[in-house]
Amino acid sequence: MDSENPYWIALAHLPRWRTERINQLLIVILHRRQITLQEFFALSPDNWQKDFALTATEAVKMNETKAELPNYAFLAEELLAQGFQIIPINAPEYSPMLKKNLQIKHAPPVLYVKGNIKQLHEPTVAVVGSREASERALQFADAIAKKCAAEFRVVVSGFAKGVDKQALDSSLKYGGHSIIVLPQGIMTFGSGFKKYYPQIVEGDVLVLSTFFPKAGWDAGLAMARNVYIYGLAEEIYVAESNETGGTWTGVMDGLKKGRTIYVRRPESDEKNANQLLIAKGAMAVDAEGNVL
Amino acid sequence: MNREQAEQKLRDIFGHARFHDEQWQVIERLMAGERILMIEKTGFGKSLCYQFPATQFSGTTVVFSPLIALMRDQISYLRAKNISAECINSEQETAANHAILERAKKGQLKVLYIAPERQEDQAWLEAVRRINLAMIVIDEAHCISVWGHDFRPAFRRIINLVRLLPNNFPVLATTATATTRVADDIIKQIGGGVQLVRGDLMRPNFRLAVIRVDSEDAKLAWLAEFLALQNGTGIVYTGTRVNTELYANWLRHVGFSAANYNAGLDAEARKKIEKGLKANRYQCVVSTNALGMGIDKPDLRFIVHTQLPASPIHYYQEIGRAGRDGLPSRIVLLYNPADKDLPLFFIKNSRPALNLYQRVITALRAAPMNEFELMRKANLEAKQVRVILGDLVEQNIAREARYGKQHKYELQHKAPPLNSKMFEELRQFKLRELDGMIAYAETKNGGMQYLCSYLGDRAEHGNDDCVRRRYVPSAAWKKRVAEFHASDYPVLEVQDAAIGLVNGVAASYYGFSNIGAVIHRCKYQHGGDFPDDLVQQTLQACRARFSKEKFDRLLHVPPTESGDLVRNFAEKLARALAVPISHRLVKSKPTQPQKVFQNSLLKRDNVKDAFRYEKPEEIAGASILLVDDIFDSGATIKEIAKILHGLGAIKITPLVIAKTIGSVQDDSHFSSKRNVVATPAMRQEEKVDSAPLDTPKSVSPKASAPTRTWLPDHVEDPIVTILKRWRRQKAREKKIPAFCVLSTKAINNLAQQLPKTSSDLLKVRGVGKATAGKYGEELLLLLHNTAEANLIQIVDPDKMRVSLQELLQELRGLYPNIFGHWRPERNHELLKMIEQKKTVAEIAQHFGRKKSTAY
Repeated sequence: MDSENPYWIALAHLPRWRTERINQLLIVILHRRQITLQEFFALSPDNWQKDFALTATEAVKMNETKAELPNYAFLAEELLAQGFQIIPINAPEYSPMLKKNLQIKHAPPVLYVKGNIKQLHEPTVAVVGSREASERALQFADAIAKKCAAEFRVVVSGFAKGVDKQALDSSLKYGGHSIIVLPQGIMTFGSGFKKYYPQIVEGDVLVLSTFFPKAGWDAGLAMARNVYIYGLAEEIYVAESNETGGTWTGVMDGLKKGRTIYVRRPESDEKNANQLLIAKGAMAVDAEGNVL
Repeated sequence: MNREQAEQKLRDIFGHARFHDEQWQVIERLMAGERILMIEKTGFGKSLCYQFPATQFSGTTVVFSPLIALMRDQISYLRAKNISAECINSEQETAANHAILERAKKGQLKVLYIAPERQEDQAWLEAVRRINLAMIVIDEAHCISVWGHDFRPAFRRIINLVRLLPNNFPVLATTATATTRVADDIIKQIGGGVQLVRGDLMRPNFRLAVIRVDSEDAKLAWLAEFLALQNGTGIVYTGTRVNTELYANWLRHVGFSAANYNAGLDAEARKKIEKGLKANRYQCVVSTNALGMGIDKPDLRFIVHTQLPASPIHYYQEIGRAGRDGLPSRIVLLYNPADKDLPLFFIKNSRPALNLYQRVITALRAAPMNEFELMRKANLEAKQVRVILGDLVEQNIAREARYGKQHKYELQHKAPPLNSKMFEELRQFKLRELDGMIAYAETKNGGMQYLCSYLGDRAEHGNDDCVRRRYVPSAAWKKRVAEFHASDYPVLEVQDAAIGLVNGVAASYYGFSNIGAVIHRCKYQHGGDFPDDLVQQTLQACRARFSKEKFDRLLHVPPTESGDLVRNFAEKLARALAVPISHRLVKSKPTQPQKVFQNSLLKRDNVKDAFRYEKPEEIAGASILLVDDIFDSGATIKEIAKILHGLGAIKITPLVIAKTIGSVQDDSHFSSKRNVVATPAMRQEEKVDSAPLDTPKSVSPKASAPTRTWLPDHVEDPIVTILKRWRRQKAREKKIPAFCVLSTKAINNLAQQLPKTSSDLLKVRGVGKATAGKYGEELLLLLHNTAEANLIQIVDPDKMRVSLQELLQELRGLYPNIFGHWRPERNHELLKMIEQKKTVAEIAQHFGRKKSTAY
């Protein structure tokens, strides 16, 4: 058990602080000043302003957060008791792929996880697509998951209905490993933990969230977590996309960042945006995931 | 704030003149944000050490305490001083608890008392994130340590919480009873630079005595003589629940006002007795160690132990309740050297057999479950499930987690194998503690000094008297005790007006005198009908309790496996009582013997809708005397009463030969010679004591390693299943095909040969040097744990024996296809195989082969 967990939770969810700002502060604390978070919080607001470049407003907020640390201790204990782990960004267990893909700007300071954390260091593949997916899209997701299981690659799924769920369930069916990236706080996943309990115990599934542990499901969080799905993956396979929505936005963002994204070539009778994505630079693959 | 200023506030708020030096030491440090472990005797004033700082801090001080009664007393005290204090506990309505939490969130409370178990309560966990916290106090901190006398798993979460608090957040842990080892353990667990403040434990107002006796009857007589000379009230501690009834009945028989108290009573009944003791309505309360921590009465004038406590710490804790007002108090231990057998029995049976742990682990692998679900799935008693879960959580194999609104237990991913060696370590530790208590009882010297020193207070306290003498009851007292035994019959507490059921009576407790042995011989060893002296004793019980009752009909419970024993017994009773007998109460479906089921849930399910009465018109308006041989959970009696009442019976009165209180761990087995063969739990521990870990064998390679018999082809060996699961996990980890880890042939050979050492392992076909080098240690440990857990023995001279029913349970669990529908007529065949010391696998093979013809 890491006694710094309450400090990590407090910092990771500072109200109205962007991820990039939090990460910048962490770099100063841990790398430049080389002190622990406990030591940082033991300092005064004046120290924070002088040595850590906090603004006056930020220092006030930080002081308020400091007073709440005992309360964060209760939350950290509850997380521990429920079997969740907290992986701070500087921990060796943290996903190197997430750091590489998201960098200081978007890499979440803290991951909340339950299950086989070794999967964060295994080769990963995200399978994404519409919630209202066609049969072909679902079959594609199944084919990719089967391939991943055979090749010992971890399927990253957003747990949304449609393609996400198909990829996850297929991965488990074929004896593969999966990471479920939640659109909510990890402590609110509830029935999902019961459903995937045997797989979590056996080490086939890792459940992951980057949001405040008690945050309920929220459409905004569902959109926000797409960044992390893409961030965790080495390769991204798109089963089906419309011209708007989370899948489209994620792929466009990924292409902009130079990510390699594989999109299923649609059949002539299909009405989706897959071909458009291929035209914009994604790589076309067949129904089995082979590059065309 | 300096001491002078603080003492001024002390006078203003609490009305005390000044602090003790030790109190100020602690308070000063807490105000500076430090962490303290304070070990001080009862009555020292530990509470002030946190109550005073609580009034000075802004924010709320949270006090974790397991003692609801003491919480209530403390709150009354604080409110009387105009200090806002509340408590949250299970005895209050949910709405009341929520209202208190709202007040705490608004900053309206200075002190909030809460039970450690509340760390599992959602409402509390939500609220506490919004409370302005000032300090955490852990009362009865010895509950943190497994080396203490009262370890409580719920305290683990408190420790985890404390370790996550900021270092400059004040924490106070308090206890009156902690040995040096326990104190060191607490300090290590709390961490964060916690400091120890230890005061002296001497109680100068205690008058100690050890009275040596030769029998339980002598204890009864002595107690009566002693109480006649006492003016105040006190507590008499017994070792078992049965004895709380026995002693209380005796004391009432000889004219004293006494109540019996134990954990088996419901909360209302316990509260009533606690109140009665505080109000001096009883001269004494006879109790197991369930009473003591819940009582805050300053003028308890005596505490008598009729049974050796498990250790000097237990003893110190239990006597600690006496004389808090500082006035002289009598502290007496009644000691018979044979008394050590009971705590020895409890130590040896403090844990279930290892195979039962495996049952729970197997059940949890499939789905998260709560205690009730595990009781059903694994066919275990509530207490067994609780002990097993406690150990699994302690060893990070399982944890309690929330699934929606429910709390369930789940296995941890990558859980380590069960460390049974830890159990042995704890057992040895408890045996040493018991030796310490025996030393107190038997030594010629030392009293309070001995106890204090044992608890780490090594200071010389001067006067250390302890009166030690022998007591032999007079002939008159012996006669009175004999008369009492002849008239004291156990009550069957089953009253339920809704079904016309009244409390019944038994002739004796199962295990007292030789009744249990006689019943066992008749039922299981073809000993013939229940003898006439059992009939006589049962008649006496019936006449003593129901002399004024008129019964219209006598019915008997139809048998599951004992043939006509109960019927013939009932006929004799009916003739003697001149009550018409009917044999028309019959089974409407087959049932298993109740003793197969370890808990009341399964017993109830077993007999549900299992009876009918063939001529209902006979029953309408009748008062029924319902006869059976043994009363255990009462599920059968209650089910039958429900049916008879439904047919119009106006009253059902149960009458049995013997009353048990439950399982192997139950004390009622203890008072006579045990009449079952050694239980797996005990034999396991003896085996661990004597068996060397690594037995060298000089045998030729791969030829003469010990072997197990092959199982029938249609049944997979459970060890093979476990080895295959391990192989799959290893293959996944290493990203290689499963057969590259270990071939199936090697797995089968391993399961058959069960190697114990590295050299044995190399003799197994299919296991080469490379495999042994990579996975040898893991495999040996896995095989060791699995073999123990499955009661499977290597063919060697020291095979284990088990009782018939335990074996049947085990066999059903492992081979449901073979033993799922067992016929009792085959018991003798099974008994023979037990006597021949056959292994579980050999027994399965024998009956599996015969399955097609026999069933």
